Amino acid sequence: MIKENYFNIICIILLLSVPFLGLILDEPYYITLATKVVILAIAGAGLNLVLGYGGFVSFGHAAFFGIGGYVSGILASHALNYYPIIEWPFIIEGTTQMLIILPLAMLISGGFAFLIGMLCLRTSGVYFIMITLAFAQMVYYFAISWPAYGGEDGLSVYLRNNFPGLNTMDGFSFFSICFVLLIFVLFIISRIVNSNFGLALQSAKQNPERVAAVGIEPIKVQLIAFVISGAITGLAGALYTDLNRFVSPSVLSWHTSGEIMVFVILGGTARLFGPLVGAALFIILEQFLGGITENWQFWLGFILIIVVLFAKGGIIGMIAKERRNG
Amino acid sequence: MVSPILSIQNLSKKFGAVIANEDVSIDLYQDEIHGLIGPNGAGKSTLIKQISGEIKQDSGKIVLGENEISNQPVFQRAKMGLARSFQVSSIIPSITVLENVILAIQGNLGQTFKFWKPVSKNQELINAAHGYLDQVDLKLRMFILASELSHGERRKLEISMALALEPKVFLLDEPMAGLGAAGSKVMTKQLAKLKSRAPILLIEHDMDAIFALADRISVLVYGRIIATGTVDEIRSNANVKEAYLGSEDL
Repeated sequence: MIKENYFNIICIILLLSVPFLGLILDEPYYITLATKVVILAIAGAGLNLVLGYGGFVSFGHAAFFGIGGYVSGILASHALNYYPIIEWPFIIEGTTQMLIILPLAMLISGGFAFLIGMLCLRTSGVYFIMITLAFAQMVYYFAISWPAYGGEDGLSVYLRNNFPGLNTMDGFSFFSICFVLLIFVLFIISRIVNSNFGLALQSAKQNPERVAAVGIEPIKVQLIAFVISGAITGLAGALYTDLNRFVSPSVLSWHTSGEIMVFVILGGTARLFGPLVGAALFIILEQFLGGITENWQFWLGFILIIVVLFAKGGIIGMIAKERRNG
Repeated sequence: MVSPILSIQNLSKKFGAVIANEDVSIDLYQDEIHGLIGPNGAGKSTLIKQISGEIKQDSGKIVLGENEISNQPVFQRAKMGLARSFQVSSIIPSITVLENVILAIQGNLGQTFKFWKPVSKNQELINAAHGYLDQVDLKLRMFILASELSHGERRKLEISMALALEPKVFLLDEPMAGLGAAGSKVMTKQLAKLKSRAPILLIEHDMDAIFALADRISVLVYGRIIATGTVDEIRSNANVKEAYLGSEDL
């Protein structure tokens, strides 16, 4: 067993080594894979805040991932086609500026999280799982049946959005943006979970009656966490559109919700780096087992069962000691 | 005329056809421990849940200080000065003893929605928590997880959390339950000290403790208060004797 902080640093070094290896070996595909891991880790980090620290199993995070993705896709496609989003009562143009798109994606998916959370957080357990799933499916079918942005076929964006001073079409530059955002997100989450708010959130997970009895409204705490969570997952969605230069309703489907959940559980719930480890393992399995057999997900399921049955705290729980401060 | 700190007025609650509480009135004054006793199924738990806000009364009202709290949610009542302990100890098991008390302090001070500063570096909160833990002799155990506390220590932690709310009223639901003779003695002393901070509404099965501690006692039988009075009045009350006949020697 090693200390969790050391383990986290090793994770960062391993993650960074992949795109550098890609540069040296001139294998841009490695860089793309590493970028994918980083983006999915951000999505998982968002979910981890409610699932891990808050104890709410959201099966609807695809909604926020997809909404973030569509915000990015819609804004960019309007800008690239020189066609304003609305013309009346005032003109709103699209944009290809990441510095506008990313905060906007977070704002809009956070807003949706607020609406969905307000309705869902009155329930718990299986009901919460089902109602979040239902909302995500509503968004999914809405995207399918909305022809303006490609409907079922999805929406192509032929250029990545811009970032001042960087050529985002260069894989390594784009990786760097995503990586910095991941570190930033993890830093924010670590501050939140160790703050007064984090203490209340983790307490409400275990004993909401007690939390109410000391004068704190548990639902308010959980709703705020849900909004932050949705915004972070939305950020990941926006980056994912940029990575693929394409967004389709499939990012909104329940498979996506399930996959984000798998990252968190595989890596370790309520562990800061859990989603990163989970996402990395997922992509590694997809690449290597996927090359050997079409049914690689059987082995993913197998590993997931082993982790859930025998490793409390996921992969990180097996390897690293939990950091406690008090 | 001194006005009561907590005034329960004509509270009634039915579950279907079952009458849990009927026309219950209790006044709690400054500097008193008011004992609430009654046989099993008399409606004590229902009454406490109505006072704390977990259950809504059918009729009647509850006034804390100047404010009516009958329609306030649980967290609001706690904020307004109602500190309760639970019949089955209710703590947050996965965090430390110290963090449990800090949670109560931040609840009282309304400091929950601070997202940036780590709790472990908030010396003000920590120092305050030390004080409340000291008062229940739990300071030496503050860095262990609350789940590792013994039953008696959990009781103490609950009292410490109640203190941290700096309440107007303590609502204590069987704080002696499961403590054993020695533990009960310690807790009895603890409660006598607590009384100087705020009045206590004490629900207790342990008759010896109630008679030793309480200034006044109300007796709840079949959902109704059949007698309220000093310890001696209750001891000699014919109705009370009848209600407890054969089960308890008063």
